[in-house]
Amino acid sequence: MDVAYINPFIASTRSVFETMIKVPFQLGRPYLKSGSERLYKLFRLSAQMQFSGPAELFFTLNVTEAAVLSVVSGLTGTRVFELNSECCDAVAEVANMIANGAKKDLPATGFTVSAPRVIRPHRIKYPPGMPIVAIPADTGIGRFMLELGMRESTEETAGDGEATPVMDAA
Amino acid sequence: MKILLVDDSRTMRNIQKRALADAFAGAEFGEAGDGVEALSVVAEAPGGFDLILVDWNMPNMDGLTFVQRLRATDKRTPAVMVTTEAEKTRVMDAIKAGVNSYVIKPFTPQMLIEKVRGTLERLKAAA
Repeated sequence: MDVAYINPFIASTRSVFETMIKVPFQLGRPYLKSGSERLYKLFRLSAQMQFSGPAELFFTLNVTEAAVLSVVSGLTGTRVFELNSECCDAVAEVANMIANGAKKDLPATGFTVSAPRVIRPHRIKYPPGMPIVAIPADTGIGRFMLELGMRESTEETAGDGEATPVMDAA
Repeated sequence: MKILLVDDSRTMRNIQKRALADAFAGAEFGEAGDGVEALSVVAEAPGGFDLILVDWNMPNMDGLTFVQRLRATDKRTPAVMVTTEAEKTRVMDAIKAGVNSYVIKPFTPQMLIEKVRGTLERLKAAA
């Protein structure tokens, strides 16, 4: 995958964390996920968004419970001690800001972005054969992971990016 | 001061409310999760609102359409669009629709407060 598509997501994640969440974090090295890799027991919530246009792109934010609580507490200024519907809403909003912040810096223009879907990590799906780049991250309190899947658009896949958000993770 | 917050994310509304409550002592807040609800809240609010913050991408009715509908009968209430849409063409579309100011997410509380204050002062000076 062209780093020109990866770097905007890294920069956008830093921007969201620095301006709104104010929780320090470290990003690890991006790597190509193997087909057999299953990290879903580690993560508690995932938010996925689909980009349609010059390429088909999937962005997923996976978060552990500790990371969700840390992020939501930082975002809202109120300590949160358990997962609830507000946490799902907050994760969706964080994913939305990261994805749309990245969109403006992508090497191609004309992308439309779906609304975020917040679901259990084991339900995250990608089109068969799509290479997925994973970028691990750690807030010091909890871990999260960005995932990017991408392939060139075909007539069938260049849709309008519309998706109905599903908040079924709570 | 009465402020209407229009965003489908309750988290985002709470963030805006906290920032503006710190800056505008005694402010009262109305909330709506989409443009349809916002039009209803505006219509039912005695005396209307002094400021509206509105997101762009929302279900049922997006923020741009809400502002267009609002401006059909209300040219006065300051409207600040708070959105992830950062492209210049989008900003121009919002201004043409009748938005007075634009804040791009993510933002710090200070960014939001300064933009709101600047908008209110500019409109007051122009009145």
